[in-house]
Amino acid sequence: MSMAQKQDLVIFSDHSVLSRELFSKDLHHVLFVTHKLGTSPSWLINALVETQVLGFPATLNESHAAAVNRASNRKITDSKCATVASFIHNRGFFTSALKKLKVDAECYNIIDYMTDFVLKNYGKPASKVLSSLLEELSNESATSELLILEQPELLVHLLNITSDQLHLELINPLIKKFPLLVVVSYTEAYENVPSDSNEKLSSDMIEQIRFCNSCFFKSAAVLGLKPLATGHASDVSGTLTITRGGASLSHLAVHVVENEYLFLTQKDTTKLFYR
Amino acid sequence: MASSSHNPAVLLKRVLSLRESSPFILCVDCIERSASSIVEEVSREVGDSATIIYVSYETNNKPRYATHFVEGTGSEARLLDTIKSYLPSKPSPRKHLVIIDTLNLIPNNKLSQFISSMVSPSVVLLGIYHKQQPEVRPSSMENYPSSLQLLQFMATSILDCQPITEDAAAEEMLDSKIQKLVIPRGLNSPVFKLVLTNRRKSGRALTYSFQFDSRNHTYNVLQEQAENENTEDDKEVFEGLTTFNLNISNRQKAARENVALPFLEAQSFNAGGAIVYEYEKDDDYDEEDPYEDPF
Repeated sequence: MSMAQKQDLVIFSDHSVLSRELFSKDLHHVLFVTHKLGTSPSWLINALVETQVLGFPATLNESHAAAVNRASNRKITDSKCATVASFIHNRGFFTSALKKLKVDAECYNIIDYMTDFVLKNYGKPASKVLSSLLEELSNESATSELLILEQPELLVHLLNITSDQLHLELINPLIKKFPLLVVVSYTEAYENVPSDSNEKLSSDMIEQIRFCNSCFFKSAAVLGLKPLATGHASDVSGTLTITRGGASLSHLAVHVVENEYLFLTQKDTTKLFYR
Repeated sequence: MASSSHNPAVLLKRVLSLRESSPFILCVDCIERSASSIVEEVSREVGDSATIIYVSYETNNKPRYATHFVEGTGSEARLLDTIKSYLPSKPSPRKHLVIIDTLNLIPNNKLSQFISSMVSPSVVLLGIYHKQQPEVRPSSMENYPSSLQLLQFMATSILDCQPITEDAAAEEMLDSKIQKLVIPRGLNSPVFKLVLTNRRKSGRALTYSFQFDSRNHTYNVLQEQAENENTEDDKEVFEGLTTFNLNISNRQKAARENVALPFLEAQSFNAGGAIVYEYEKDDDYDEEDPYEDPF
């Protein structure tokens, strides 16, 4: 693999990761990131934040040293910042990673829904918790154009609500607030779906599948992370597949460039290779 | 009606442009091929000839072709009121097309009422249903039909979007990937398979498969292959059952399809129904005998 040529991450046909077309006035789009056991999407989330701040994913598309150098010399652009709200990682997890990438802390905001979310909301009615979440996240839209929600599907189980309720009361209003919403979901549950009939699915699993399928139909592009089918390899961590989502992009001048990359994560850096 | 059944492409065009009498068009889609292209094609075919009300649960971007944009809500009654406020209260010569981007969020027990209260002679409903969405079935409704079964029963036309696969093995492999939400490249492409099921007034359904190209707006019939497969299947079913020949030739089959069923004429009466009696040459009809009058 060391001989293979490193590749740049490209999602849209204008050779961009987050095309400026997505941020056109009065338009709202969704990207869906799926990952499975053993393929953490943290590097991809960091790359998306970096793209929003710098205009491109510097550490993915350049050598680490060059990217850090460029990041420290860069001037703040006009584009608004990014917000990451995570239900499985705390603030420190993202800030330390983004600090290493020399991304200015003023250009992003991390909302930690892992540390004390349950303590704060224990016993409150689900609709009240959802509306307070919506209010808090909506406030971010004043300064952020990009919201990354990491594993919001956990709310289905934490609040004992249906996936439809989560979509109607949180996801849909957030899509309306932000030009671009990225939903990151853990899709390992799909590995346990019995192949014969839907009748045998547990209600928890049905909600989980309904949530992810709905996200698919709302999204313009799907970024799927999965480990190698052949198991662990020392020179490949997994594959990243970029595919079209269920939503139409015919109103934009760009389209999704479908691609499959192999990725290798070592220490703080991730490299992409064509498959 | 008989003429359109001979030309599947014409029938599809009539359905897409709302010229065929079909008040509820169900569009069934899947992860492999979403129905967004079909909705765009219908809106393109309809053009300015109809008022389009777009009910959205999945996007906040008002499509260019939509006259009115309605956001989906959790309350069906409220949603219905909003939709109805855009619909004519009396039959109107102008068609109104209601597009719902997903019917999956309407609860199973309210689905039939939701659909029937919206459809009228001047209103056409185009509803999308994602067939891979599992639904929670309460134990009290275990024997009640699933949402998809209900919708397929109510729909007058069904458009089923499917990806084009090389063979059965490729289809099976794709299915197993999608079941794990591993989405391979090449899906949701502009060229896909569209299966049209159109119900006649008699209830008889005609099914045709097309290769649909949403870029060029062309549809080529894939029917022949399926027809051949069906014929072979039929032959196999009747093989060795009796000493009689139960098979019919293609010519006989075509003739059978063209027979107009007698009760179709009865449906053309406006109210109450009537006796349709045709005199034959040997009938002995006496005008003076009151008991002879067949009416």
